[in-house]
Amino acid sequence: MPIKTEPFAINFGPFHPSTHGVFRMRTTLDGEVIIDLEPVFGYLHRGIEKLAEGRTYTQNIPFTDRLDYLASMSNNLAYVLAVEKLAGVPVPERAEYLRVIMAELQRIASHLIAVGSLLNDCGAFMTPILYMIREREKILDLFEMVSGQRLTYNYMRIGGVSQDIPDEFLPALEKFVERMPSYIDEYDRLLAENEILLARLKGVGILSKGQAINISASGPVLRGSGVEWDIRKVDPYSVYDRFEFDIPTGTLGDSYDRYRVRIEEMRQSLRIIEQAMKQLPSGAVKTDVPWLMLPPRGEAYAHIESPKGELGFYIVSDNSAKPYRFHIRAPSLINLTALRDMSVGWKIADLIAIFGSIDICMGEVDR
Amino acid sequence: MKFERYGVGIAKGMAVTFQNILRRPVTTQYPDERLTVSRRIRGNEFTWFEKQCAGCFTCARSCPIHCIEIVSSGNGTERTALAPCRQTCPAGVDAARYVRLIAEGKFADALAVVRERLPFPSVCGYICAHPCESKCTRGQIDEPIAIRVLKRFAWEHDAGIWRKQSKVAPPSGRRVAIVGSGPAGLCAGYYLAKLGHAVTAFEALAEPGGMTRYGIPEYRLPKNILRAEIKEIENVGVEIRTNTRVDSLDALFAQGYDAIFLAVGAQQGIGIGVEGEDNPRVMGGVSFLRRVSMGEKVEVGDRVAVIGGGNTAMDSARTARRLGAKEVTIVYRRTRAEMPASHEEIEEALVEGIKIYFLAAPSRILPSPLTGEGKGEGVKLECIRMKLGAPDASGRRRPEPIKGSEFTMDFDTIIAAIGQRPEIPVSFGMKVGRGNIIQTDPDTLATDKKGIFAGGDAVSGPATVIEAVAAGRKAATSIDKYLGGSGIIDEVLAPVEKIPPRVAGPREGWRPEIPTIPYDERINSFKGVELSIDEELAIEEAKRCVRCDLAYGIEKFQIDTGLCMNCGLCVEACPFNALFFSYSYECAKYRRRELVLDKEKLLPSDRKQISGYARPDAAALLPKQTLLVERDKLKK
Amino acid sequence: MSLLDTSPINWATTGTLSPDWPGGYWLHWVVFTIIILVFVLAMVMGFIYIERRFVARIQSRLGPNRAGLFGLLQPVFDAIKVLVKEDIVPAGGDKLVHWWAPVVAFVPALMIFVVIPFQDGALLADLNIGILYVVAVGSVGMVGVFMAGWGSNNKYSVIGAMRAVAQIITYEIPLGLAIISVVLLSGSLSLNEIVNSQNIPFILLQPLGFLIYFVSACAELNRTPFDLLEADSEIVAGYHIEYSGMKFAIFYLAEYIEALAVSAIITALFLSGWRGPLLPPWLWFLIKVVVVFMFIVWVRGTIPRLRVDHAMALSWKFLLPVALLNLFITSIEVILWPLVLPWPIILLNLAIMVVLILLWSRFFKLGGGRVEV
Repeated sequence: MPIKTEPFAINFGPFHPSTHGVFRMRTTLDGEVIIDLEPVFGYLHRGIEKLAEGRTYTQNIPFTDRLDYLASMSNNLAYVLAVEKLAGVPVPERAEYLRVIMAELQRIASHLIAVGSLLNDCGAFMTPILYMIREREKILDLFEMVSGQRLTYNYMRIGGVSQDIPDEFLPALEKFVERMPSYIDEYDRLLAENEILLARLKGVGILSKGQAINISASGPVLRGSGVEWDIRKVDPYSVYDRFEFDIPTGTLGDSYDRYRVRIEEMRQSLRIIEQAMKQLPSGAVKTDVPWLMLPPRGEAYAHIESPKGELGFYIVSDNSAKPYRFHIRAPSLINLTALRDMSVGWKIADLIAIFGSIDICMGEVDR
Repeated sequence: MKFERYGVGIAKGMAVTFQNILRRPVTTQYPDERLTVSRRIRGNEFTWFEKQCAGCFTCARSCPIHCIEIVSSGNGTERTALAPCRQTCPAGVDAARYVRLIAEGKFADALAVVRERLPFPSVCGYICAHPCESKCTRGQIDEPIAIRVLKRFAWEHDAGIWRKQSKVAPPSGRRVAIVGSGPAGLCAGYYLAKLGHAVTAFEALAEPGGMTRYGIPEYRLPKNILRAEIKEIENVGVEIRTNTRVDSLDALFAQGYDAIFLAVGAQQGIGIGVEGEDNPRVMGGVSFLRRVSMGEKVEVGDRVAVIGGGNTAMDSARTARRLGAKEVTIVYRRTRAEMPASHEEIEEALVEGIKIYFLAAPSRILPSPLTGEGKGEGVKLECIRMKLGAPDASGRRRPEPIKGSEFTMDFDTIIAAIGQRPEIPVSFGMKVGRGNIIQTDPDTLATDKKGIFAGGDAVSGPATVIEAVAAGRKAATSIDKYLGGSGIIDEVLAPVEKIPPRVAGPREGWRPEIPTIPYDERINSFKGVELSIDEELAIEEAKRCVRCDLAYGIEKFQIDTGLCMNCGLCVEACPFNALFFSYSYECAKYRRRELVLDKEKLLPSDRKQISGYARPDAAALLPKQTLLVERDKLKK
Repeated sequence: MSLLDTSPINWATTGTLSPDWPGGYWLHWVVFTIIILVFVLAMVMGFIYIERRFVARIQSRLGPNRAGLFGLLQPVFDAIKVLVKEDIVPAGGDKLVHWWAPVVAFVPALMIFVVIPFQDGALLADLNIGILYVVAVGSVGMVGVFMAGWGSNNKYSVIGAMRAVAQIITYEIPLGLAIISVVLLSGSLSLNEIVNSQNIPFILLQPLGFLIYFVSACAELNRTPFDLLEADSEIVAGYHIEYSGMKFAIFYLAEYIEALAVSAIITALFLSGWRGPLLPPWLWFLIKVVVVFMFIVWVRGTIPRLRVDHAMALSWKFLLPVALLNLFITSIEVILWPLVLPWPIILLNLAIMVVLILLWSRFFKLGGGRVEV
C-alpha cells in the first residue's frame, strides 16, 4: 500500500557535490521519491557565443577550450572544422590524423571522468574515479607534450594543428595504447559485476528509444537507448572514414547501458588510435592561413561526435574578420533535457546516478 | 548460473583494490613523483626579447582578451636581419624601405630604392610574381602588403631623383654580346653598360623584350610601357640589334666580343604528348601568345580549350577570350591548390568567365566531324578523370588516372600550355641538361666554355621576370669580373633615409581592392586590366606595413598575467620570435626553474632534501631550451 | 604483561587489597577511566591516520605524508584546524538541540568501552550483561544524530536524520540476533566470559553470524556501503551538514569511536579477543582491533553505496530471516553436538552459510523499481 506524505521541495544545487558544476535541480519529493523535477541552469553563463562575435576566427579557438573543459580537443576540432568549411581551407593529411588521435584520446579522457564520477556519485568512495584519473593523467601528459597545457589545449588551428607532435609523443602514445585495455578490464572487475552497483543502475532511469530520438539526444545517451547513431559513421568528418571501429549500443536505455557504452567506446577509441598511428603520414601539419582571415559570406555548420554527443558549431560570416553569428549546439544541454523524464518516480540516490550517467559539463550547458 | 547476486562481484572488486594496495601508488606522489613533463610549456611567465621585437603590435592584436600592452618609444634603428620581403626577392629589392617611403609621401625616393636593384620597375610593377608578398610579415597577420601595386605606383610617380645618382662608368674598351633581349639579357646589359662595357644585345624578333614582349599579353603589360623601359636601358648605352638571329657564338667572338651572355629564354612549347596532337586545331600556348602579340589575326573559334594550369595557360585562356571565344575551358589535371599559376591570375580568369575543369587530363584528340557549320572542322578532346595520389618530389600530390572515366568535349581550338623549354640551337654547341636547359655554374652562371655565360629561363627553365632580373644581375657581376672589373653593380640612388618615428602601430585594415576595368571592357579589348591607384590609397596601404626591417624601441611591454589565459596565440603570432613562454612556472609551493623530464633522476639518493627541484646542479642535467613553438618545424 | 601489571585489578584479585575495599574500587575506576580515555583518543587518532593512509593506498595514492614522520601528525593538525574554526548555529535551527546533539552522540560511543576487555579481567566493569549493555548503549548515539538532523533546520540533514532512524531500527535486529547466537555458544553475556570461552574463535563456529554482525555493524557505523545518512553525493553531508568547528569534531570523533568500539566488539565476540600465542594479550587485542578496522576500511574503499530502499530490503528480507535461521541452527547445534568434536562443526557451519546465502538470495530482491507518481 503506497503511503503518501506531504510533498517536500528541495533544491539540489547550484552548489552541490554531484551537480558537476553549478546546476540546480528544483525537486519535489514524496519521502525519498522524486515526484517532480525542474532543471535550472545558466549559472555558468559567460556569453561565449556573443563574445565570439567580437573576436577573430583564430582568437575564438581558446574560447572553445572553455566550453566543455573536459574535452577541449573535441571542441577545438568542431570549431576549426566549421571555420574550414566556411572558408574552404584545406587541411594536410598529417594534421587530419593528428586531429583524430587527439580527439579519440580526448574521448577516452572524457569518458574516464564521466564513468568515474558516475561511480563516485553512486557512493564508491573515490576509488573508481581515482583509478580513472590515474589513467587520464597519462592522457593529459600526452596532451601536454603536444600543446604545453593540461586542460585548455588550444591545439587545433584553422587549417591544421598548431604544431607538430614532438618526437617523444608517439612512443609514449604506443605505450599508453598498449596498457590501457588492461586498465579498462580492471575497472570492469572493480565494479561492473558488483550487485550493489547493478541494483543502483540496471533498469534505472530508462530513456526509451523513441524518447531519446524525440529530444534529439546524442552521444552515449542516445546509443545507450539502442540507437546506432554516431556522427563518425553517419557523416564522417576528418578522416574517420578510413578507420574500422564499431558503435557500441545499449538495449534498455538505462543508466547501466550508458555506463557500458562509455566503457566500450573507450576500447573502440583505442582501436582507432592504433590504426591512426599506423597510418600517420609525414608532411606539413598546417596550411598557411593568416591570423586574420576573411571567410566568404555564408554560413557553415560542422558537427562532430564529441564525447558528450553531437557537438556542432554554426557560424555565419559576413565576409569580415569576425563571425557574424556564432552558435554552439551543445550536446550536454540537449541531453540534459531528458533528466526529468528519466528521474521522476525514482529516489534521490537514483537522481544523482541518472544525472551522472548523462555526463554533462556545465561549461558547455551554460556557455 | 549468474553469480553476480551472491557477492562474487563484490569479491572481485575487493581483489582489485587489494592488488592496488600492493602496487606502487601513482596518483598523487608529489613531490616524489615520477612524472614526465613535456618540453612544451605554456605557463604564465613570458620571456620577451627586446632585441628581437620590432614593435609590430602583432602580439597585442592576436590576444583574444587584449591583455598585452605595448608602448613604443617611436625611435627606430635598422635591424641586423633583413626583412622577409627583401630576403625573398630574387633581385633583393628592399621592398620594406620603399613601402615606408611611400607611406611618408616620398614617392620619388621610393622609385630610387626600387631602381637600386631593378632596372625594370614598371615591368615588375605590372607583372611581377611578387614572391615577397607571400612571405610578407603582414601576411601572417592578415593580408600581405600590396608590394607590387605600390611599386607600380612609385613608378607612376617618378620624379627622376634616381637619375641624379645614376652614373655610367667611363668606357672600359671591352665588348659584351648578349643573345636574347629578354629581361635577363637586358638587365645584364644595363649593368654591364653602366660599368663601362660596350654591350650589344641581339634579338631575333622585331622588337626587344623577349617574353615580356611576346609572351605577356597587352592587357597585362601595355607595350608602350615596356618600350619606355627599354628606352631607359638603351639610354645607358646598350645597343639592341633586332631581327638579328645569332647562329654561331664563335662568329661573335670573331667580331671582337670579349664575353657572351646567353639569355635566349624558354620559348619552345612542350607538346601534350597524346594521340592526335598534330591536329591543325591544336596550338602551343607560347606560340599562340606570340602570334597574338605580333599582331597576327588568330582565329580561335567559339569554343577553346586550354590545357595546363600555369600562367601561360591563364594568359592563353584570357587572350582567347579577348579574341572572341565565347566559351573558354581550362583543363587541369590537379586541383586548384596545386595550380602553379598565380592566385590573382586564376581569380581574374574566373571573373572573365573562364571555366576550369580540375582533375582531368587529355587522353586523346580526335578530329570532330560534328562541328563545322562553315567554320571548318573542330576537334574532340577526350579527357580522363584523375584523382590525387601520394605527394611527389615537388610536394604536390601526383594525379593518377581513374580507369574508365573518359569523357569527351568538343572544341574549335585546343591550346596546349603545359610547359615550355629552352630552344638552344645546336650550333651554339652548349651542354644542355634535362629539359634542354643550359648547364652553368650556379654561382657565376659561367658555362663550360670560356667567356660564355648563360642565365634566365634558358638556364632555370620557365620562370618569372624577377628571377630573370636576378639572373641578369648575377651575370653582370660575373661577366664584369671575367672582364677584369670589380663586379660591383650595386648602386645607391636614393637619398639617405631618416627613419621615421612611430608611436602607434601599423594601420589596421585590409589590403585594398586594386581597381580594375569593368568586365565588359575586358573581353572586347586588350586594354590593361589593372588600373593605377591614387595617392591616398597608396599611402594608406603603405602604412599597413609592420616595418619588420626596423627595430623600434619599446618603452613598455606588459602582459597582464592576471587576465592572461595562456592560450599561446601571442607567442605563436609573433613574426620575429621575440616572445616565448619561459620554462619556469609555478607548481604548488615549489618553483620550477628547470624543466624536469624525469624527476626521479633529480631526487637526491639520500632523500634528505624535500624535493629534487632544489638540487643546485639540476640545471646541468637538463636540456637547455624549451619553447612553446618549435618554430623551425612550424615555419620551415 | 608489564603495562597492566600495576593495574588495580591485579591488586584486587591477588589479595593485596580487599576486593570490596572502597579505595580499590575507586582507584580501579579512576585508572581504567584514564586508560579508556587515553586508549580511545590515541586509537581514534591512529584510526584516522590508518584509514586515510589505507584508503589512499587502495586508491593508488600516498595519503597524508607531510606532517611529522610519515604524516603521523596529520590527525593532530586536523584536530587543531577543526578546533579553531568558527562554530556556526544555523538561523532558524533549534539551538538547544543543535548544541546537545554532539554530546548525545559522543557520550554513548565512549560508554561502550566500559565493558570492553583489554585482557583477561582488564576492563572497567565486568558486567554480567556486558553485551546487552553494548547493544543498548550503542543505539543511543543515533538519538544524537537525529537531534543534529532535526536541530539544523536543513532539509538535507532532516533526510539524513530520517534515514539514520530507519537504518538503526532496521539493522539493530539482525545485529542482536547475531549476538544471541554467539551468546548461545559461550553461555554468558559478559564480554570477558565470552572471550574466555573462545578456545576456537567464534568466527569459525559462527561464520554466518559474523557476516550478519559485520554487515549490521557497518550499517550502525554509517560506513560505506551504508553511509546513507551522510551520503555526500546525495544529501551532501546528511545530519552534520550544518556543523562546524568543535561540534563537528565531536561528531567526527564519535564516528571513529564507534568504529573502534565495533572493531573491539567484533574482536571480542568473534576473534577470541585478547587470546593468542606468544605476544602479550593486550597486543593481540590491539592487533585484532586494527585488522578488523582495516577490513572495514577496505570494504569502504571498494563498494558503492546502497540506495535507501535497498538497505532496508537487505536487512528485512535477507539479514533478518537468515539470522533467525542461523539462530535456530546454532541452538540445535549447541544442544545436540558433542563438545569434543569442534572441527567437523566448523566445516558444517561454513557449508550451512554458503547454502543459506545461495538459497536465500534466490528469494530476495534488492529494493523496488520506479514509483508511479
